[in-house]
Formats: sequence, C-alpha cells, structure tokens
Amino acid sequence: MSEISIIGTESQTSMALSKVKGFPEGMIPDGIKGGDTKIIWSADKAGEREAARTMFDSLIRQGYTAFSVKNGEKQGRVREFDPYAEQLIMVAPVVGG
Amino acid sequence: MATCDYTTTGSSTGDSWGVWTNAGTSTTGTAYTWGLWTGTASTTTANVTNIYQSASVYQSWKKWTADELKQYQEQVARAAAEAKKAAAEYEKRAAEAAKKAKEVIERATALLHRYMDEEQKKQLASEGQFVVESESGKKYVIKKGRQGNVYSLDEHRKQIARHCIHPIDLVPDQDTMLAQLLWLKWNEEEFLKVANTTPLQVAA
Repeated sequence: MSEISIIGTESQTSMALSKVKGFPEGMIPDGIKGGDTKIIWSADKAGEREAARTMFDSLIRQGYTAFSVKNGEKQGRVREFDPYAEQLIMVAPVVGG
Repeated sequence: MATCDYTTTGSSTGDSWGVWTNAGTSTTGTAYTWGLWTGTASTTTANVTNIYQSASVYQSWKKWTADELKQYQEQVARAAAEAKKAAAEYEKRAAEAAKKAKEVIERATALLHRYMDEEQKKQLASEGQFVVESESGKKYVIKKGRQGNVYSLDEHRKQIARHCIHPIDLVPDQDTMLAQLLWLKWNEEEFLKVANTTPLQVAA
C-alpha cells in the first residue's frame, strides 16, 4: 500500500480531491480533518493508481511540491507520479514571509 | 325655585340632599355624588371623576402591570435559558475544536517525525528546534513556529541569517516545519530564492 500525505488547507485539499472523479471505494479519506490529509492507494489496483495519479497531477498544477519515499529511502523532490512510491508528501505552495 | 334647599328631597338639580343621597330623580346633575361614588350613576354627563371607576382603572392598571411583570419575568427566564443553552453549545464546540486541534497536531507531529532522524527528534523535544543539513552540506536550524523560524548556521553553528518561508496555507506548525525541512534538504536552491532572508549581525 502507498500513501499520499497532503500538507495544505482543507479547502485546497478538497478542491484537489474534487478533481478526481469516481474515487474507488475504500480510498476516499473519512472527511478532510484539517492539517495533513492522507490518501491510501494500492499500485496493484488500476482504479486506485489512476485516482492517485489524477490527484497528484492536480496538486502539482496547483503549485504543490512533491517529495517521495521509496524502498525505505527518502528520494527527495519528484515531479512525476510514481505509483510504486511508498509515500508521497505534497506540500502546498510556499511563500516568503 | 328650590335652590340651596338642604332639607327636601325634591327633584330639582339644586336639591342638595337629593343630589347627595340620590333620592332625587335627576339624572342630569353634574355633581351626582352618590352615583359618582358608587359608580351606579346612570348619568352620562357627569364631568367629575367617578371614584369607583377610578378604582376600576387602578385595578386594571394593577392587573396590567402584574401581567407585564409576569411577561417580563417570563422573557428574562427565556433569555436566561437561551443564554445557558448557547453557553453549553459554545462549550461543546470549543471542546470539539480542541479535540480536533489535538488530533491534527498529533497527526502532523507523527508525519514530521517520519522525516526526522533520532538526533533531530531529541533536539526538537529538548530544545524546540533541530538542525538540518542540506545536500550542499550547509546547515540550518528549524525552530518550532511558522514564520522567521529557519536560520542559516556557520561552521561554528552560529546563526548568520534568518529565513522566512512557509506554506501559503495556514497549517499546523509541525506541517510547516516538515515543509521547511523537505525544501531545505532537497530543494535548497529554490528555498533560498523564495525565502525572505535577513542577515544577522555576528559579533566579531
């Protein structure tokens, strides 16, 4: 099983999730609770894999940066969806304060 | 003429006894005292206050004020009940919000910990900050917070510049610190481009 952890607001995360039509059953998070949101998918299930890819692409288009962990190793920043990543962390756009 | 006749019970309007006792038959007297006193006068032309009627007015006023008072007391009781209900609702929502905030922070802390090594976790627990080494070998310290909480360190671990950079979204501090950690470690060049950097005075 793989997961995407999204660091962003509820509204932004909800918007990204809304881009994914027909989330496979069991993949939908139980409500956006504030803070990071975790989406679990299985690379072996085509529906879940494609839903995760759609969400990843939607967040990247919104300016999120992605960081990956694969085979227990932190891979650093990634720009393409890797269905076999163990974890993807999507960080909301950052600004200088 | 029977004016000022105090002894007879005549029907003249000037028959004082008759006026006083209502023994007279006049219904047009302007000072029909007994009738006015008792409220039994049938005259409709009396122009002085009917004491009995005044008493009725007083009773009505008394009843009205009692009703008003009762209504007011009921309003106060309703308002108090509503205020109590609102306070209970506020307490309930505040407790739910606190519970939610606690869960969010716990989740964010767990996520941050997944990207920290043991030394960094110890530093954060004991000092409220931890050191990050970027791919270029430069060292930074991230303090707990959201803004202006990242510092460049020199070779002696002295803070030489402060960087302000954070997710545009308002997220828990632990999520912000994770974002800063990830950007510093694997996206340092862009981190330094985006961050608002303030060089710090270093004593010679």
